[in-house]
Amino acid sequence: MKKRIISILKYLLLIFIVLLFLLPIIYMLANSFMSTEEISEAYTASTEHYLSFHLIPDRFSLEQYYQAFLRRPQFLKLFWNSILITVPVVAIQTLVSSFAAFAFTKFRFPMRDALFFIFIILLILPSWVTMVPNYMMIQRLSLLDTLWSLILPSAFTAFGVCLLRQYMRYIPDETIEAARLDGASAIGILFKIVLPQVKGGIAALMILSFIDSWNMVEQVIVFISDREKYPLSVALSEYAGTDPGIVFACGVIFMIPPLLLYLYHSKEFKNAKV
Amino acid sequence: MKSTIKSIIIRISIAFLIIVALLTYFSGTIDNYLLPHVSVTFGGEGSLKYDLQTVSVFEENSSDYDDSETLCFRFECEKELDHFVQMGSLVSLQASVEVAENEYALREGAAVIVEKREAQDGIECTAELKKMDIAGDEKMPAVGDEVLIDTEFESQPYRHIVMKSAIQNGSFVYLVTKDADEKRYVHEVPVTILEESDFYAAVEMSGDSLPIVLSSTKEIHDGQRVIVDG
Repeated sequence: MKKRIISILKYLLLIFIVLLFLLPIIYMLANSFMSTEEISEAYTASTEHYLSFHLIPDRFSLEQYYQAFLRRPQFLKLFWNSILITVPVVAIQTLVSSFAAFAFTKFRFPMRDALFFIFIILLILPSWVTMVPNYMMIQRLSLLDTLWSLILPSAFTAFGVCLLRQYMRYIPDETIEAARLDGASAIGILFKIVLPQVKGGIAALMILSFIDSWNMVEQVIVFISDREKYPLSVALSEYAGTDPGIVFACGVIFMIPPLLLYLYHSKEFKNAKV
Repeated sequence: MKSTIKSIIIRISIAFLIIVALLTYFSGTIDNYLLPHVSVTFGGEGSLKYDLQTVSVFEENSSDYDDSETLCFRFECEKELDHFVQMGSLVSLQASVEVAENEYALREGAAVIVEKREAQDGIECTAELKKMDIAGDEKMPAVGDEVLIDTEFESQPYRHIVMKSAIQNGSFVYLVTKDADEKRYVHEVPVTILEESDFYAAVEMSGDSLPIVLSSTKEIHDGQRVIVDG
C-alpha cells in the first residue's frame, strides 16, 4: 500500500514537472487562438484590472494565424531567413564535425591529443568570449551584414567534434582496419563504415545544432544591421512587447521545424549512447 | 513502422515548407487582394459654393429701402445659407423678355440682394434687378413675369475644403501617406468643421496636400496599409 502511494506521488510529481515544462508551450498555443482584443486586454494592466492569465480563449479565433500567414508576410520572410541560416549551419557542422571527429579518433598524427585538448577548451568558452574575435574576422572578410557572418562561426564549432568523437571511439579499430585491407579509402570508410554506426550521434548533433542556430539572437544583433536579414528568432523577441498576438502565432510556426526534426530523429536520439 | 513514421514526418515537413513558400512567394498578391482599396480625393483652398435654383415673380419695387421704380423679386432659401447670402450678394437669373411681337425668349440678368429677413422655413430675400442682357428693342420683363433664379453663393475663402463624405463621424479624415517602398498607409487626422454646404465642408486640419480617403472597400483604421485605386 505504502509503495503504491509513493508510486502515485512520484507520478504526480512527474506530471507536475512535465506540466511546468510544457506550460510556456501550452500558453503560447492557447494565446495564438485568441483574438487581438482578448490578448491586448490580457496584456494591458490598468487601474481597473490587472494582467490576466488565462489559458482558455473566451472566443476561439484564427485571427493571429490569418495575420501571420496572410497579412504580415514579413514574418514569413524572416522565417525563410531562419531556414537560410540554420540549414547550412547544420549541414556544414555535421560534415565538418564528422571529418574532424574521424581524424581525432581513428588517425594517429603528432599533437593529436594536444589539439583535441584545445578543442575542449574552445568548448568550455562562452560564446560571448569569441564574439569579438569573430566580429573582427568577419569584418576583415567583408562578410558583415550578410548571412554568412552567422553561418560560418556557427558551422565550425568544437561541440560537434567532441560529441561525434565520443560516438566514434566505440567503433572497433579492427572494423576500420578490415575496411582498409579491403581497399576502402579514408572517405569511403567514414561514409560507409563509421557514419552508419554513429547515426544516433549525427541525429543528436543535427538536432542540437539546429536548435542552437534556429534560436540565434545575440550573433544576429552583433553581425547584422539590416533588419530584413534578421531571422524570426530576433523578430519574435522584438515584437513581443508591442504585438504579442502575432508573436504567439509566429511562435507556433517557429516551433514546427525543430519539432519535425526532433520527431524524425527521435528514435536515434533516444537510443543514442555516448 | 519506424520508416512509416519517418515518411509521414517527411511529407508533413515538405507540405509545411511548400505552404510557407507559396504564401511567402504570393504574399504580395495576397496582400493586394486582402488590403482595403480606397478611393481618394484632394482637399484644397477655396470657398464653399451653394447652388440655388428657384422660381419667383417680378414685383414692383415698393419697399422702404428704395423709392426708384425698379423690378424686384423675392425668394426663399434654407436657413443654413444665412452666412452665404449677404446683403449686396449678386443673384444670377433668367427671365423671358419680348424679343418681337408676341415672341418671347429667355435672357440672362443679374440682381442684388437688398433685403434679408427670417422666414418660417428659412430666409426670405428680396433682390433688385440691376441688369438684363437685352438688345435692340427687346423689352424688359414686367411686373408679374416669371423669373428663374439660378445662382451660386460663395462663402469666405478657406484653407481646407474637403468633400463631406470624406469626413468620418464628423470628426476626422484619413490621410494617405506612402513610405519609401511606395506602400500606402492611412492616418487618422482630426478635423474641425467650420462651415459646410451640401457636398463640401470647410475644415481646420493638418496635413496639407495629402490625399484624403473618400471611400473604402473595407473598414480601415489608423496606420493600416491600403491600396489606392486609380
